[in-house]
This record gives sequence, C-alpha cells and structure tokens, in this order.
Amino acid sequence: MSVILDKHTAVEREPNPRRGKGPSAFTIFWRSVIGRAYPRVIGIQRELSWLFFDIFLPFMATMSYVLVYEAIGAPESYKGLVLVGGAMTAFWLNVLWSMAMQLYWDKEQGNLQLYMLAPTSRMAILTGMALGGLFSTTLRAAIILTGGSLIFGISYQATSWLALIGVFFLSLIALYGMGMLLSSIFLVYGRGAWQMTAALQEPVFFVSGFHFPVKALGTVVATGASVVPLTLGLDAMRQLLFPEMMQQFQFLSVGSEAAILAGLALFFGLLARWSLQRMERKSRQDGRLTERGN
Amino acid sequence: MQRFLQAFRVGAWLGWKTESNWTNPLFYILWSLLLPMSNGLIMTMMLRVLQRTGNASGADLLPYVFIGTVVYSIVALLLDSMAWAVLEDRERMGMLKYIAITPSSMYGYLWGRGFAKVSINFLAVPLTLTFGALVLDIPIRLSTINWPLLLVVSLLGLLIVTFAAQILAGVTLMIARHAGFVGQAVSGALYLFTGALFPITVLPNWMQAIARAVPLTYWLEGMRRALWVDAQNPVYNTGLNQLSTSNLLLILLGSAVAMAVISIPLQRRAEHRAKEKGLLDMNTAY
Repeated sequence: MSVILDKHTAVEREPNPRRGKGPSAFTIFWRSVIGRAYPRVIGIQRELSWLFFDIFLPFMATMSYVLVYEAIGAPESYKGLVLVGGAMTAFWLNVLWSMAMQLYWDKEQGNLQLYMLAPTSRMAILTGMALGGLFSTTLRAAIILTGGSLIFGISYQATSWLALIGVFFLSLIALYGMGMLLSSIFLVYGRGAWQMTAALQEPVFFVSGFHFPVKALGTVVATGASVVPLTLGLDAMRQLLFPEMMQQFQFLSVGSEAAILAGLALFFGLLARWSLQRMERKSRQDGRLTERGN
Repeated sequence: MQRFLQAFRVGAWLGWKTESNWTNPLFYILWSLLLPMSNGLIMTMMLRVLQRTGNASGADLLPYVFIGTVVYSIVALLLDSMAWAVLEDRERMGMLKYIAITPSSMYGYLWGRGFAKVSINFLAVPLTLTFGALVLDIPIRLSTINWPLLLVVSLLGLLIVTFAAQILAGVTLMIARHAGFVGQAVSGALYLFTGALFPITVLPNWMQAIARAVPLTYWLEGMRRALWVDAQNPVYNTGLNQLSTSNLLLILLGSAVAMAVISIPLQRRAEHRAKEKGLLDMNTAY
C-alpha cells in the first residue's frame, strides 16, 4: 500500500479511497438543482417588495376580470371560474418569462457561459429553475385565490381534493416541461426570443380559456390548445371545483385529461432533454453562447 | 423647442429600429395586433358564454367592455415604453449617459421612443375595432362614429398617457429595483380603476372615488362616446352618463395640463438627481 505525506503536517497518512472519484452524477445533479432553486426561494425573503409587484398588482388585475362578471350579474360559480383561471395565469407567466426566457437573460448577463463551464447537467439547472419558480408562483397563486374567494364570497364544491391536487401537480409538471423545451429553443434566438415570448402571452390566455371554459371555443380550437398543459389542467380543476356548472362546459372527462397531462409531462420532459442537447450544440457551433445585445 | 424636436426625431427613429428590426414591418404589425385582439376576444368569450347559457342578468356590456379593453392596450404599451427605454438605454445599450452629456433634450428623446412604439401599435387599435365590428358584431359603424370627438379625445388622451409615461420614466431613472415592472404595474393597477372592463359603479364607493379621480376613466368614456352611439344609454349604468360631453372634454384638457405641469419638472428633477447620484450608467441587471 502506498503511503503519502500530509502536505501541511508532513505526517504519514492513508490515501483517501474516494480521491479522484468525486461525487456521483446523481449527487451533482441534485446539488445543481438545489443551487439553482436556492436564489429563487431565498430571494423572495430578502426582497419583500415582490409582495407588492408579484401579488398585489396581479391580484388587482384578476379582480378586474371577476368584476366583469359581477357587472353583468353572473352566478357566483362563474366568478370562481375566472378566479381560478386568474390565479393560474401566474404559472403561465412564470413559465414564459422565468423559464423560457431565462437562458436568454442569462446569456445577456453573462451567466450562461458559467453554466456551460460547470461540470453539471443543463437539465439540472432547468429543473432547479422550475422548482424555485414553482415555489414562489404557487404562493402567489394561493394568495390570489384565497384573497379573491374571501372578497367575493366564492365557495367551492370540490368532489375530490386528492384528484384536484393530483391534476394540479400533473399540470405543473407538464407545464414546466414545456417551459424547459421553450428555454432550450430560445437558447439559439437573439432578441426575437423576447418578441416570441410576448406573442405567446395573451393569445394563450385566450385559446387556453384562462377566463372562460375552453369548450366555448369549440372542439377543434380546444383540442389544438391542449398542447399547452394548463388548458386541460384548468378544465379538469374547474370540473372538480364547480361540478354543477361545468356539466355544460366539460371538454373531456377528468380521467382523460389527467391521462393526457401525464403523457404531455413525459413528452415535454424527453423532448426538452433532446432539444437542449441539440440547441446547445448548435449554439456552440454558431458561436451564440456568449453573444450579447442581439 | 428645436432641441426637443430634434431629440424627438432621433428617439422615434431609434425606437422604430430597436422595436421592429427583429422582423419585417408586415410581420411586426401582425405581431402588434396580438395583444389588443386577444384581450378583445377574451372579453367577448367571457360575456358570450354567459349570455348563451342564460346566466347573465344585467345589460349586454360587450360593446362597453370591447372598446374599453382594446383602447386600454395603448395605455399599457405607452406607460411601459418610456420606462423600458430608460432601462434599455441605461443598462443594455449603455448609451443613456451619452444622451445626457450631449446638448439634446432627454425629454424629447424619450417622447420619441414612446411615439415609435405607440405609432405602430396605434394601428392595431383601429384594426381590432374593425375586426370587432365585422366579426363580433360590436355596434361600431363608420356612419355613426363622431369623428371630431374621436380626434379631440384621442389627442387629449394620448397626451395624458404620454405625460404619465414620462413621469414613470423619471421614476425609473431614480430607482434601482423593480424599474422593469413600473409601467406594467401601474397599467395593471389602473385596469381596475379606469372602468376599462366594467362600469365603475360596480366598485365600492371609496374605489369609485379613486376611479373618478383618474383621468383615464374620462378618456375611455370619451372614446366610447365617439365610437359607440349608445354609449350614454342609462341602462349601462356607467356612472358617467350624467356628465356632458363638453364637461368631459374640459376634464380631459385640464388633466392634460395638470399632467404636463407635474411631468416636466419631475423629469428635470429626475435627470438632475440621476446625474448627481451617478445613476445614469447604473446597472441593476433588471
């Protein structure tokens, strides 16, 4: 057995059996996830003014939509329908601006090259971004939903809270998978990424039925819009929260929507992984990873 | 004045280039249609769903809501445009300091940047209203539009919003955090208080008082009266039916003057303070 000298004390010691092996890929993956999620979770405690900008102002915008129904004397459940949609807009905005656009921002600020140099998976960084974003966005959506329900006296007739939670998380997994995919695509974009993201914001609010049941748009549009996981997620959640009212607006059964959402989650996850590798290679070849101001 | 106009021209030209050169002009115009068109369609679907199922007990507010939503998209864009111009030029392009050290007018320059953004998007408003009239059956007819009123109200309203945007740009010059959200935040909050989506009579009394103090409430009312022949029908209970159109114009004129009186010194003060504190080349990684 070889014997080595400690460089500080010059005393003989046994060689470290793990020397040269380092942490496993699994450990690095999860460390990266936690490392990337950390600033998003901790940041909201250190900068409390986000409460005003991220919660109070979107809350007022959601209230505006609910008040439209108040103005025309709509039943209470319709106001609840808008409120649930309004709360879920937070997730779509988070996916667009803090997932899809994030690698573009990082490129602009010079962080992207550090990610590329780090001995970790880019999927780990995106997963960390998603988990960190999910935390603050869920908090924001919950406050909007609770506050709105209290102000307008909306009550829910949830048939199964377990199914509701299941559908909610399935929708989010699929949605953030889609965010990862968009993020990899926007890696090769210049300023056009910004415009594309802006172009996806309001039209998706419309076709996905954030403020009205998606079935009202007809089967063809609703089927097309189902590529955005929140379309089916919202429909299923509304069916579980307002079963009576949603009888006339049900697009698909909750079970079918949950199954499709699970499929979308898997599809987007795998596609994002493949796309990220491909787009990263293309960006390296085209020299776009360090490009700024374009 | 000459300095203002020169800076305005340069700002508008640069604004047009930075806003639109990522694509061709035709695609840019189509892209700019997405926001007002989507908002108008969302409102249409929200109201039509209820009417089809017989769940709406109030008056048909679709024309009220459609016009308000589409016109309000200009407010959101303009309020956001100047604050973003400050951020982009200060941090992304790093050129705001060069404008400040030349003898040109930063005021005129920022107006130019705002004008560039709005002029293209302003085309989206009539196009969306036309779409509403032809496809969604919104009762806007060329023969019934009050053109002189539309012209005067549009000009006064744009002046008010531009001065308001200038105030936000001044604030953006002085703050380090959340500057990127100032325009969106203010336009989002005003959505509730301007009667863009619903008559202000729906609001509690204390909120109605705020709504009546916001000039944009009168601008949207004026635009509705110019475009929609039935806008003053008491059945809609807008809370502004009793206000005569001449008084409404006077309120708009007074508001435009008041906003100018506030925004011009504020911009000078903001510029001065930014120079004094070294904020003109601040980088906040917004």
